[in-house]
Amino acid sequence: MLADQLDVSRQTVNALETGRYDPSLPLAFRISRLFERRIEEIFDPGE
Amino acid sequence: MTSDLDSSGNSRGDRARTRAYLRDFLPGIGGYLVVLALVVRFGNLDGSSPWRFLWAVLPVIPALWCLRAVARHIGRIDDYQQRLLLKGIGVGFGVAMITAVTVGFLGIAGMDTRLAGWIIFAAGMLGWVVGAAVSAKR
Repeated sequence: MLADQLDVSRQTVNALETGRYDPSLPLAFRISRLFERRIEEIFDPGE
Repeated sequence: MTSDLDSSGNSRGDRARTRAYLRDFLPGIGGYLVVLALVVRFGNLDGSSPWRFLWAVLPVIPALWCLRAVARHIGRIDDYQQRLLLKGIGVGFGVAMITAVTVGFLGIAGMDTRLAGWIIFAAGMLGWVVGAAVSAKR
């Protein structure tokens, strides 16, 4: 499960996917490593 | 993005954190209930002995263990969960303070406020629960 691989709750993964939560920098790096993508390829600042 | 990784169940980490919380919390609430039963049975709170004041505050000691459990739980959960929980606690604190001021003024106006502590406690807890639920929905 993704939540286990990122060491967060399922609720947190859901909030990330639906855009209700911007991850902390350490969590963004863990996501980046897991998906083997650069952070800016995964997250859009949406300015 | 996570179709192969998603599941509707709680993660292993969620379950481990819940177990750890219960391991911390249950001795506190169990101790509280035991001490409360002893106080009600032997405390003679309606009497005139000065010891009754010591008996009356004894349940607070195991209740402090519950506070420790919540503090440790906050340290274990992730950033997003901390945010939700602390928002809820913030709302609960605000509700408790407003209730305290309200009950205080009602007391000045002559209302019987012997149950003020319990009213403030209930309002704060209710505010915490509702605040956390509303935060989670947003």
